[in-house]
Order: sequence, then structure tokens, then C-alpha cells
Amino acid sequence: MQNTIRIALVGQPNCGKSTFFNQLVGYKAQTSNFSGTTVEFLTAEVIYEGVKLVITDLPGIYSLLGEEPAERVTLKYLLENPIDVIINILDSSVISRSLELTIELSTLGIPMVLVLNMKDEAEKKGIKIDTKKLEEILGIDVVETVATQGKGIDQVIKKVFNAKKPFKLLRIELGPEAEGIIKDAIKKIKDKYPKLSEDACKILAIADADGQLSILEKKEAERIKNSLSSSMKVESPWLLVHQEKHKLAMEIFEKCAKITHVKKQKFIDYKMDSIVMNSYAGPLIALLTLLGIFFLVQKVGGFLAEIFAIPFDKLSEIIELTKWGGFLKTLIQSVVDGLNSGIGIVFPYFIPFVFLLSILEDLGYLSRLAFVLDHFLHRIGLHGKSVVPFILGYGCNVPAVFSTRIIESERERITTAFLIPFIPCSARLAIIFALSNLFLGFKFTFTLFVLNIFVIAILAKIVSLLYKSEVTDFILEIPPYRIPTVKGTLSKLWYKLKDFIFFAWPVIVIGSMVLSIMQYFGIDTVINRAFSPFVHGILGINENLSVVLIFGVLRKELALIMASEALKVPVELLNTVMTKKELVVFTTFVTFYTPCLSTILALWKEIGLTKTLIQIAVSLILASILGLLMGLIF
Amino acid sequence: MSLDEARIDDLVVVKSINAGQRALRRLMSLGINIGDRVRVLHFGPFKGAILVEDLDSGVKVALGRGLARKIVVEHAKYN
Repeated sequence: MQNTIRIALVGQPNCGKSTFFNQLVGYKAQTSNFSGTTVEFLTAEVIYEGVKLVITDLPGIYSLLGEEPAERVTLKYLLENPIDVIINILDSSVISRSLELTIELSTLGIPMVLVLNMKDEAEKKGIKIDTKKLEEILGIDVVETVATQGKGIDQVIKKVFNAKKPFKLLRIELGPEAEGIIKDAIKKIKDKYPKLSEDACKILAIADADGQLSILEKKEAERIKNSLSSSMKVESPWLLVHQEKHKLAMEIFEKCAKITHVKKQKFIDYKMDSIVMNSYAGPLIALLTLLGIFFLVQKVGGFLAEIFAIPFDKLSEIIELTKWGGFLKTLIQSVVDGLNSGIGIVFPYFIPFVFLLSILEDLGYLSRLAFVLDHFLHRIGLHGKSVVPFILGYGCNVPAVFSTRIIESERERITTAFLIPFIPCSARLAIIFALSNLFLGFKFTFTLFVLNIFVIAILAKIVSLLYKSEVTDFILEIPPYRIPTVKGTLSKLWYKLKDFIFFAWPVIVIGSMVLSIMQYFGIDTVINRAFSPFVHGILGINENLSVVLIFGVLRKELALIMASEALKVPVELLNTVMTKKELVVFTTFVTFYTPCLSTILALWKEIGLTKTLIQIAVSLILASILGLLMGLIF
Repeated sequence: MSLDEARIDDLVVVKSINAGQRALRRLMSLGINIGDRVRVLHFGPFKGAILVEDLDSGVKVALGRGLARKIVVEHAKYN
């Protein structure tokens, strides 16, 4: 038996793939999880009965042959990486459509295991699936699971060890003339991917004729498209593949699935939707939900912050009493401060926020929010789908920037990515909430959020006026409501926390140490003086905060704790060294000014260097103007 | 008639989709094909999206009003 099995998880969006992945990875204690080199994939290793399973969770896609970035990336990954087994996960409640992806996957000739997930939901809809029959037709093992409850996962792993190659079901007959047209293209694809069968190459060639896979050269694709369209009398060669695959899926569905009761379903879903998606109640519920989240995060966060800060305050008192030398004392104190800023300032707000966000996501509310806000977003040149990245941005800008890939239109995708850094992420939220709890009050926070959304809307409108292109159609699947499971929510929370603990927190501690070392040797004064004309002259805040603002670019979490270090008072006493106006300007500036380093890198990758630099410049200018404006109001 | 002219709770059959290639591919991959029976569930606020359920694939999809205008449908009866 081989020692390593490389597994790719493939499935359509909302099929429960991530839940499945989490269950699989959490299956044995002996796991080591790490983010893939590219952010879009999560890879984990699991040791199962002495065999190493390397599992990669690929993004959810409707088709292998589509043009969305996620779809292209997945196809490329499957073609170019050595994969031993594909675990294809299906949402049983929409099995006929899900089988279309299965049929596409089966052409790749890689051993597969089929997972019929969400068995419970299919049963609710009255769908009964004959798995034995399905196995006979597809030639691979089929396992029914309910991933949220961990049912059937064990079964799937066992099947992976002797996964079979699926039958090649999809064949496209083109007729002699058309066959001649694509002969060369098939050969080119075969040369590039020798492992693929002739049939698979043909399917790729036909689909690529529309220019969406970018395997063939553009000119050649166009030539094939034109000749195929005229000889086969279809608008788009892609349709040839789709129709065949759709027909096949329906046939399989009819053979293997029975619908036991077709009633005009009156599920709770319909009732809930008639409220949540109602023209009047919908927007109101959306507003209340968002306000509710912020209110809850502020209250819960404030409460937790007080508790979490206690041990660190004690520790600081003890350090203060020791007889250690100046430098050592400064250094140790800076470590404690760094740890404290992670636990005492960021954590309390971060945890409830991430928790609530993941519940909304799992419930299926985010896509409904996209539906409700579609009209409003259209008016500012975006569309409903931008909602999801924006909301995720309140958690962390980095995944939010990457999540813009769900938007098909380039203009809307770039605009959304460009605007995301203006969304205060949990790090900045922590600063805003902490300062507003301590000194600035709820009115300030509220104004800041309203101003923030207003600014984003105006910027979106400006970009849409400058960057004219056809608005793409809004198409979004609305998943059924699902009750978030405790395990699912906790594991999501843990992933985010782990990222914070092992990546962000050390940076904060090191940043805190570097600052105190600089202070000890007086280097910070040089920097502060250099930036004084801007920070003190224009913004009107204490020039000693210059160095803090520079460090803040690394991690926004740093800004607050470093401010307290730079001004040599605890955070609770910042108001003794800064006027309220200074605090207002500082908080507003930190909210808007340049994205943090990780976000800059993410932006660079997604929208290119020039646009990223423009975004940094725009945000610096905006932050200054808005900071001064808020300073005048409060 | 076009899909945006249907009323809430109407059951219609998709006759043709006169949208761009891209939208057409998207719709079909999502499970909305010609000949499918579609039920209109909700209209979004103002001139917002339309929520429909494809009874053949079992999929619920939100569609922008502009796109709905390009989908030609015919009334059908519940059986």
C-alpha cells in the first residue's frame, strides 16, 4: 500500500464541502493543518491507519468548464497536480444538478468516491436515492453522509483506499465536419496533459472554444468557435457539452432517484423567506441585524475586555515593583503589553464578531442579504454579490479581498476589492470599540460607521463612473436555511483564532518590543520629528504617534497598544494625554488609512500593483480629510 | 411574457433565455435550463432581484431584474 494518498475535495457551492473537510481533518487527533501556499486552498494532512492523507479543499464550483476564477483555478489544479483520489461531494437535495459536475469530473480519469451529503435535507424534500444503482451507473463507490453530524465520514475514508476510476459516460458526437475542425486542438491539449483521454481532451477543446478555459490560444479558440457554431448550428460550442451532460444527469437522476411526495412544500424556509426577503421587512431586518451585531460586539467585547485585562494589569504592577535594570524592565514590559493588546483588546471584540458572522454565514443569511441589497448596490455600480466580501471584510480584509472572486464581472470584482480596505476589519473594530467604550461614546461609533458606509458608497459610484463597462447580471443561488452546528461554528472560530494566535499575535508582541527598544535608544523621536509636519501640523494629533501610525501598517491591532506605549500611559488613561478631539481624529484616521501589509499583498495579487498603490494613496488622503472632519464634529 | 412580468407564486415554464452567453452559461450551470418549471417566490425591494425556485432541479436562485426581463416564460399549472 502506498504511504501517501493525495485527495482533492470537489463539489458545488453550498454542498457542505467545508463542513465535510472539517470533519475529515478533525477525524483523528494526529492532524496538522496549514493554509495552502495559495490562499484559495486549504490543505490538511491526516494520518489514518498509518497512511498519510493529504486533503485539499478546492473552492466550490458549479462546473469544471466555467469562466469564473474559482472554476478555472479548480480545473487547472486538477489537471496539473498529482491527485490520487477525488472525493466529489454532492448536495443530495439538488442531486440532478450536482451530478452534472460529477459527470464532468468522471472524464478526468482520476479515481473517485462519490459522497451524497445532506441526506437529511434530501429526505425532507422527499428525494430517495438508490445508491446501489448509482454505483452501477457511475462505476464508483457512493456513500451517503450528513457531514454536519459527522455521519458517514468514516465510511468515506474507507472507500478512499480502493477508489475506482469512474466509467467514461460523457461523449460528445460532433459529426465528421466538426470533428475535423477541432482535431488539432484536441492534439494540443493531449500533448499538454498526456494523461487525459481523447474524449476528455475533446470536451475541453469544445468548452475552451468559447475562450473561457484559456488552455488554447485565443485566436485558435475563436477560429474553432466560429466554425463549430456554424457547422453544429449552436450559438456557443459550450452548449454542446452542457446539453449532453444535462441530459445524462437527468437520465441518471430518473434511474436512481425517486421523489416520494411532490407537494406544494410549505417548509419553514418559505415562511422565513417571505419575511426576510419581503420588500419592506427585508431591508429593515437587514439593518437591524447589522446594527444588532455591532451593538452586541461592543457590549460583549467591552465586558470581556475588562476581565481579560485584569491579569495583565497585575503583571505590570509586579514588573513595576521589581529591581530590574531599565532596559530589561522596558523590554519585559513591552512583551506584556504586546500580549495584553492581543488578549485584552483584540480578542474580546474579535471573538464575538467572528462568532456572529460565522453564524450568519452558516444560516444562509448572507446570500439573502445580497438579494435584499441588490437594488441599492446597483445604484452605486455594484451588485448584490458584493455584499458577501464586504461583510467578510468586517472580520478580516484579507479573505474578503480573495472572496471577491465570486463576482464574475471584472469591473465589479475590482471595484469591490478596491473598496474592501475601507471596511474596518475586526482589528480596527477592536480599536474603535475599545476607545468608544472608554472615552468616545456610542454616538461617535455610530457616526463613524455611517460615515464609513457613506464614503464607500460614494467611492463605488465614482469608480463606476470612471470605469465604464457593462453591468453583469446578478445570479446567485440562495441556499436553504441551515441551523449552524456547535461543532461547525467552533471549528470555524478556531481556524480564525489560530490564525490570529500564531500569526498576528507574535507580530504584535514583536512590534511592541521594537517600539520600546526604539524608544529606549531615542530612535522614535527622529521618526516622529520627520512626520511631525503631517501628524501634528495637519492632523493636529500628538507627534509622538507618528511611529505608531507607521507600525500600524503592519497590523492595525498594533495602533492602540502602541499609542499607549508611545505616550507612556495605559490605554484606559489615554484621555489624560490626548484631547477628545485628538482621540477622534486618531481613531478615524486609523479606520481609513492605508490597508495593513497583509491586505496590501492580497490586493496586489488580486487587482495588480498600480491599483493597489492608488488605493493606498486614496485611503491616506481620505483618512486625513475624514479625520479632520470628524474632529470638527466631535 | 418575460419572467419579471410574472407574479408571486406563479408557476412558469422557461421558453428561452435571451441573455448574453455568460449569463446563459451561468444560469444553466446553476440548474436553470430551457423547459424547466420555475416558481416565482419573491421580488426584492424597489426594482431589485427576483427569487425563483426551479422545480426540476430544486434550486433557488436570485436573479437581477434586468436578467429576468431577458428570460421568456409561459404560464403553467400546478399538478
